[in-house]
Amino acid sequence: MGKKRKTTVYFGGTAHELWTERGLEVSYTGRTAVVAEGEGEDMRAEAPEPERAGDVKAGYNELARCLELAVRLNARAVSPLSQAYFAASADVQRALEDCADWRRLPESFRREVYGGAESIALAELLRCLLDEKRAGWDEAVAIVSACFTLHLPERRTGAPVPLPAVEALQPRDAKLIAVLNEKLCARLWEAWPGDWLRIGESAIVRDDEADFAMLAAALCSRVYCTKEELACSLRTLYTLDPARFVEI
Amino acid sequence: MIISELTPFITHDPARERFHRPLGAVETRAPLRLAFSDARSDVRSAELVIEGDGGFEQRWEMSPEGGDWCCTVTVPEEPAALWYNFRLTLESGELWLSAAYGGRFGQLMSTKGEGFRLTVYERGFRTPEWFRRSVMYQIFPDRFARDASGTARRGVERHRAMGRDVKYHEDWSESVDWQPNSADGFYFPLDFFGGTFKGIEEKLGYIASLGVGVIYLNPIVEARSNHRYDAGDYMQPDQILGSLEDFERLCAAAKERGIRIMLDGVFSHTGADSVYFNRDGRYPSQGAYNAGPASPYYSWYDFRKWPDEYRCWWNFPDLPEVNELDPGWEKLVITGEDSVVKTWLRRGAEGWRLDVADELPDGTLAKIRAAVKAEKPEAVVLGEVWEDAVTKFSYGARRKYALGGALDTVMNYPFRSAVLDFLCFRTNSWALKGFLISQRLHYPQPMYFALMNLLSSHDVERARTALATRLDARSMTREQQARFIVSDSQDARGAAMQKLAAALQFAVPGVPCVYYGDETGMNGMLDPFNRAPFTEGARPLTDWYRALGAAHARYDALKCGSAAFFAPHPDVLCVLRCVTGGRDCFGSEAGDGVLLCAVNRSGAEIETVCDLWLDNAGLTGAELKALAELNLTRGECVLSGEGVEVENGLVKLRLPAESARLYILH
Repeated sequence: MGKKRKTTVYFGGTAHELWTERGLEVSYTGRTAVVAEGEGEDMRAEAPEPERAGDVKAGYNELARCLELAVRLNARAVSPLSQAYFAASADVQRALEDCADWRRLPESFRREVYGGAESIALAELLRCLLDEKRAGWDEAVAIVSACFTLHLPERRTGAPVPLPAVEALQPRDAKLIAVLNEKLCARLWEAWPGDWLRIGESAIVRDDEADFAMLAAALCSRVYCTKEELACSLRTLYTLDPARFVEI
Repeated sequence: MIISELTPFITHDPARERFHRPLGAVETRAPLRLAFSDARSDVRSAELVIEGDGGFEQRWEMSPEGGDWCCTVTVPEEPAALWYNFRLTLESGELWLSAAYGGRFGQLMSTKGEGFRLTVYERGFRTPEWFRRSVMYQIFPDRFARDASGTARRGVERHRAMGRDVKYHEDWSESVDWQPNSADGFYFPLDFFGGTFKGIEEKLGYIASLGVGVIYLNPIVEARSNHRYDAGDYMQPDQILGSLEDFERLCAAAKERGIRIMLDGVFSHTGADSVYFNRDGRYPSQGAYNAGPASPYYSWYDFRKWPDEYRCWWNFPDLPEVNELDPGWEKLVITGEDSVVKTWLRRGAEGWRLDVADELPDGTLAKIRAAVKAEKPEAVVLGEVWEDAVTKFSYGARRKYALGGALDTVMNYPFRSAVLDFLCFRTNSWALKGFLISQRLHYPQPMYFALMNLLSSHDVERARTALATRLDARSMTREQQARFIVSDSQDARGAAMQKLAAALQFAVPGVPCVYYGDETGMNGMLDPFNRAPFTEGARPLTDWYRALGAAHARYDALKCGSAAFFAPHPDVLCVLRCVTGGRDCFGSEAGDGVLLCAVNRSGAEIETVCDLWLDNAGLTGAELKALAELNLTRGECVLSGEGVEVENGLVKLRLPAESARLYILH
């Protein structure tokens, strides 16, 4: 039996952004690391090996936090968003590790999202490409778009998620969702300048809550949805860019 | 200072009935409900402030209602162009919600900004229904069609016998004269090609084939120049064009074909070489110039020092200005039993286009209207206005001629500019849509549906040339214009774009006006090159104009249906016209129908979706509801036969490069 694959997923903490000659450098403090082991449904969380063996107390406390989180993840005693983030982060990290040239990621990595918590994978992949692979914004967005398709079920289940909840998991993901929202709103503004009512109806972030279905609808290369979705909640995005939408 | 962080939550859009009911301009003394949204309940109290010229101000307290602040006001008794702002009190202090983004959407400011426009027009203002439903054809009479009877030659000889140095072009295909031909080095248009009333009459079949319902003739009265904007005798037709009988016969023959004739009234000035001024002594009359105070016309003119120092139009000494308040002038031109205005209506004309209407006092315009309507209640009064007629400010005063009581309609030059700017890629469809919605909201409805929507005229370069060259002809000298050759490739581009321009012209509310020769692909820079003899260019679009005219004749929705405007893509503009319930916007009987004109200006095919159910595109809530209830599922282009799918108000368009489609939707 082969050795199970391990990937470290970080939760929370504070992101420190520093613009350098090489571009944006992001570092973190106060994160909690959990190791994802295994694949798919069998994926389990483990505490990582302590890094600071000399500092027993600090190492013990960090490790205890990690262990506690791992136990809760395995017992599914965390929020669906945390669970989804854990799976998504491990998934996209592994995909990038497996891909010799991250620019060709869409050739090997295709995922479906459903407009629920799992759609955080879009923000997470975008973050990895921007912060870790140092991709440019347009390039990274194009790759994310090509990797994901949105399938909206007939009856949507995903409620909007408070942006601070995303920030508590991965502050850069929350920030990137806010930026994606701004860019979408700018496109909407171009088409309907000043029409805040219409722009607000199609925004990703409203009242500090992120609508993951709208995030995915704005970002995915293909959106499969019902006629009713096209006629109602996705109407504006559809009219803005109809080629991405497929009626089911 | 602009306060932006609250702006998304405190908004006002006059194109939404939720905020402005009824939509658009309102009649005097009508109730009007105005509102703005307050999505986060930031506002503690609010006041509507309506302002107008001369210090007019009204303030109305507003009250909260379902997330909005609103009030219902009774608009003033006097027609006026007004503006309104909302004064808000928030916890943080006072703010103003003022107009932004093309006057449409609200912008919060710490001080009062530009107001939202509100047009109040005269209660009972109506315009002739036949005119609103017509296609117009403009003819520059000397240049449209000759006849074989020698009329023009005889007329030219008569002018020469009067001592005028006029030129007759033997060959219809000669170029127009443009070179300086006077002692002071100016060009004066004394060359005639000899178009006549009979010539027009002989071409009525052709004109009718374009779906035309009204012909607008540039001046026809006796005058020295070929354009005849220098009237010599208001009561006589120019003999080069033909006799009075010829004119009356033209009117009668046109009427038989369902075509009316409209004349050009040049009343702000006369020719210096005229019965009334008689500078050159060519008339037997006692003119103001040659007879001085003894002349019955002396008081028409403003002599600073008789005889050579007098007020003249734009300082052209050949065009002495008249005093429109002079009782003698008023009687002869307007109010007398056999006034100019009335006489020509009796002779068969069905309306007047008033040259330089800006330069006629509002009172004079009102008297002209009264005289015209008294003589022929269904005759039309159209003014030459180059800007927004509702807010036009000239000679120190806000003009009221667009608010009922004066003009039925105006020449819509702003429409021309907006369409050409779009098709020359100077703007995009969002800007054009904004302009079209703005006209929908700000013109009185009776005038809006009667606007003379032109692309070319005798005063601007032809649409073909403007679209082909994308040049501003005004930046070129007359000599440069004379020598400019529109290349074949430019003409091809111009033709492709002109098709789109014409489709839009026939799709928007108002009266589409085709300037003679536009349909045959004529090019021409500014005057006099835009007045060349009628001919066929390299790429005629006659069939295209016939098809548009036929569609206009066939579908009442294109004539008098409600309108909405969409820009689903920066290169695509759509215009929706619809009649539901068997009545048009004025309550007149009309055939039901929904038509969608879609224009793609780009060089590539575009797939896009047009959302017909947008609630701020021009339709009222009731019109939107009626449209939704039609459950439209498909459409066919009446020009190309192509089909289109519709679902839930979403029209899926696949528009070829540089194409125009006119879909009838079912």
